[in-house]
Amino acid sequence: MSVRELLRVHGQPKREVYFDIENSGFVPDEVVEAMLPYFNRRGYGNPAITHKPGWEAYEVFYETKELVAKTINAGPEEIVFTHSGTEANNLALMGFVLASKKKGKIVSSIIEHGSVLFVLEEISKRYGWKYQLVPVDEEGLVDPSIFATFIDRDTLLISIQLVNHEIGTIQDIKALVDVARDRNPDVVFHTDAVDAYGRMEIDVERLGVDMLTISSHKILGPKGVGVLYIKEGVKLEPIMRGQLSAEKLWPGVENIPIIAGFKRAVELAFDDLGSNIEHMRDLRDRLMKGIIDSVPDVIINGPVGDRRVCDNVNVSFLYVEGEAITIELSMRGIYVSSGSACTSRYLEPSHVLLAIGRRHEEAHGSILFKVTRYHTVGDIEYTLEQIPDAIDRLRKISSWKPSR
Amino acid sequence: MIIDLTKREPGCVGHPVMRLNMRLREAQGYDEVKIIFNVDDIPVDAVEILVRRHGFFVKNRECDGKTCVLYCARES
Repeated sequence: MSVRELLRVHGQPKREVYFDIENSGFVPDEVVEAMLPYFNRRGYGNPAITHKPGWEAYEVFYETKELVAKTINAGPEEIVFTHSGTEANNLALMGFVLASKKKGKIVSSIIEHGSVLFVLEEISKRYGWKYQLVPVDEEGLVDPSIFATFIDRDTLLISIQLVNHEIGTIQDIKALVDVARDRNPDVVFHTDAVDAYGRMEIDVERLGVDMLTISSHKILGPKGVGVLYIKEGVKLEPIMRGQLSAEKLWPGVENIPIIAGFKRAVELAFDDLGSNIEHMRDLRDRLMKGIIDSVPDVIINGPVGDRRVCDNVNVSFLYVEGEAITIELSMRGIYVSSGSACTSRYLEPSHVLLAIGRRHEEAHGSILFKVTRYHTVGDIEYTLEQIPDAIDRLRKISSWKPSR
Repeated sequence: MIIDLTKREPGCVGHPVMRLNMRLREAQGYDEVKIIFNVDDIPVDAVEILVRRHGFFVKNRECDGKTCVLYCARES
């Protein structure tokens, strides 16, 4: 069936609720409006060129750096734009290796995003660096005492995410930084904060990190902007070559309209961060409780309470395939993703869920919801009206039955 | 039960740390476990902590600088 035919059969649901922020999301109207002038009315020039449209482009480019820097207690010169969080993670890891005068070891965790894990594999193959992955407990937390055993004099770089993208675990990065520096004062610490930014307070000074990754589309900005915070003094080498524009570590002309949209998304996310977090936490807890109360045989993946980020609900619905749930819910206008496959290349369940001890069959029925400040209580109520019926229908037609 | 982690398997869940955790959970019905691993993949001290967390203790260890073999028995 072609995609066109698929969409025709699917039709337009009466109500739509989009929860798949993990994979990308809608861009609010006010963000789209902030971008539009920069396509053809102002700032459409190259920000490195000395004329009015170039200066206008540079103005929004630099103002966005200042704004992002302020939100994480950094300086604007420490902010580097790439075109995605994946590129920022590549720059942090690969750029560090290229700049390093000696080969060493990189320590990361077993539940990192693919944009870290696959880069580590490549660094190992291409440059002969060692890398080691620290295990996590059943909530996805790195145990500092186990972490300490991985750090030695050869450890030059560490990359541990601040919030896990699938199960929402908030890692105690400050404690891990302290452990790492105690074992090796010279180690450089990177954290992938893509799923933390705009969902919790982040202060790079307080965390003690040297590099930190942010992605625009994870805060409902447009796709196409990533940020790498690089603490002054940390040396990176560009990993791509080409004509430099305003950015010195990432060649190519900056996408100014997209950066302008990202700026607006940051303003909206941080305008009243405390209230936004409270709102998302309330919706998260309503959704989680509602599912547990109305659907039998479910498991919450990840921690419950303060160690879970405010927007994340990850549930395994036993005896149903995750893909079947995503399609069934899509027909009802509810858009979610499944952790049933780690990537489309491998027919294996999510590495994150297996790492926290889920069995294959539990991981296969996992569904990830991410709430935003735009979701309403009505959205959650509508979702909770649909889910029990959807799961019940799928379980009735599933060949996979409980062994009781 | 023998847990051999010396060969890296492809895919998202083929890393020795992932396989060690998964196999240790499966080892709950066993009284003795032999774990073979490369120290480049997991430090010996980390394996020992994980083994203890799963209710085993290390009876004996043989390490040649690259590969380690831990002989573990269930805590009584």
